[in-house]
Amino acid sequence: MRPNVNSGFESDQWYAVGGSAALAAGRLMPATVLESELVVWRDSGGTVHAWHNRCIHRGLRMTLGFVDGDTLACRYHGWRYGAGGKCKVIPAHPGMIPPDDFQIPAYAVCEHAGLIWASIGAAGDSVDFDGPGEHLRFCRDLVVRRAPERVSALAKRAIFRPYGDGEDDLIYEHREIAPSVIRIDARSGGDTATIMLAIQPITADRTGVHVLAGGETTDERLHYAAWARRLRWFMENPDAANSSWNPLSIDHS
Amino acid sequence: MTRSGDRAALNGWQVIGRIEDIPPGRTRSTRLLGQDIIARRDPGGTVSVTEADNGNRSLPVQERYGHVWTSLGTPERDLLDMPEFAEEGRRLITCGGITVRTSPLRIVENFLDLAHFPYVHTDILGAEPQTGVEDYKVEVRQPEDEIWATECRFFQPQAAKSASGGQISDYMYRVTSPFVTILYKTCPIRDGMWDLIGLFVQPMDEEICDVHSFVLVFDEANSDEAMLHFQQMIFLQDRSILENQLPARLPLNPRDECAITADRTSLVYRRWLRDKGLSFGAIP
Repeated sequence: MRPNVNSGFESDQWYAVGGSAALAAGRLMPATVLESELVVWRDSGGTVHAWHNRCIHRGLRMTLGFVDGDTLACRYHGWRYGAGGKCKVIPAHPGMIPPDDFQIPAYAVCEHAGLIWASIGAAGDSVDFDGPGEHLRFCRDLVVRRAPERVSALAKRAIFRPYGDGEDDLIYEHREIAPSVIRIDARSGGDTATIMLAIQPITADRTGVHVLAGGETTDERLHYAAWARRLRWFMENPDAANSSWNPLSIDHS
Repeated sequence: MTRSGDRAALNGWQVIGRIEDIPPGRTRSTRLLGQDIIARRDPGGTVSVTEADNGNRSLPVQERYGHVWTSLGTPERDLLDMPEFAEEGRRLITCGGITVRTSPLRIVENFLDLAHFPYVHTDILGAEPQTGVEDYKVEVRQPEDEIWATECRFFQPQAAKSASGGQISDYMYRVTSPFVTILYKTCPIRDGMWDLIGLFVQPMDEEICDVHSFVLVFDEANSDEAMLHFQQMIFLQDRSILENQLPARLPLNPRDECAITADRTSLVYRRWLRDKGLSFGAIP
């Protein structure tokens, strides 16, 4: 039951699944892209992997497992899987070399602009858009209980008040700088503040939104984190009474 | 979901609760193979079971091994035989039903597995680096049509509530119906005797079941409560695994999942199910 093909959310694209900084070496996290469950993990050397979230032996979710050096271990029988999803060790038979076809399907994964990106289809070599610059950093992962198409449309009219600025004379520009990546610039006089929203189609009615925003000081980061929380609430309640707190209150379409 | 049409499942004896779960004068509503059923015990102590939507047909009932058993079809064989229940000095602890959201067949297969001990029951039934599974024997015995795995050995840090320190445990596994399995395990305090641990799985729907378990042991040191807690701790560790297997139904085609030599009991179980034409909770 995938979102229909006309939604623009194709399997052959890169989708952000989380902030790079939120996944430390030796840790794993679950992610879902277009209904497919992934395990995303970072080995002890710092390399990120994204695989089908299922052990080939008895079907256990690999997200219940644990990272052991440069391998991911299944929690059920301790099978260790290394680069490319290849099975390296089967503890029940310590001397056995696992056959070549004992392999978990591995997906393309890369890190760019402070985010981890994965593709469950045949995406290009890496995420292809200019980074937002040094002044933006990972702010929040949101999960919105709305369809990806709907969230994407709402993201294209989201506005924000730049940290430290008044609300006068702001001019907003929304651009889709890559499939599923929306950049919002707010200009006031000669200054520009930027927020970037990377949309992750999770299921037909759940959507991830990964927010990059300014964050030189704690106060600035709190300002944008509070904005992100409000953005999610109004995306889930788009018919709520208008409010100066509503990041979607001005229609720029 | 409606009542299963699986003859192999319908014609077996299935457990629906412990004897004390249905006290005199009370009724118990539950589900079996996709069919709602009602069990009643009259004040005189006799249990009757009917389908919830058809009170006129009385289903067969028997009370044995601490539990109440019934069948939606016509049982072709008697209930399994466990002569150990008549032996002097054994204690029976029934653990009560625990609901698990997966196929009843996944429950049985997990129970037959030695290799998960170091990872699911860490430092209790197994621990790294002693993870190797030695070769064992597995066969389908006729005419009783039961699976037996024998000469199973595994190092265990704390094999039972009554065990002190690690030991090599000897195991035998027995599967007497698609949903009933018994483990025979070295008794830590009586040479040459086996302790029994069994699972009576109540198949409710294809991806949900109640697991009724019992322990029948020689143990003079531990209270019933302590042994119950030990079994519950072990089983809840299993449940966290069982509810995270994909798909929930057990694939019977050997090519659907990768198996190794240590999995021979599981492979025999899956083939035995397929030969019976059993489909409830399975992917053919």
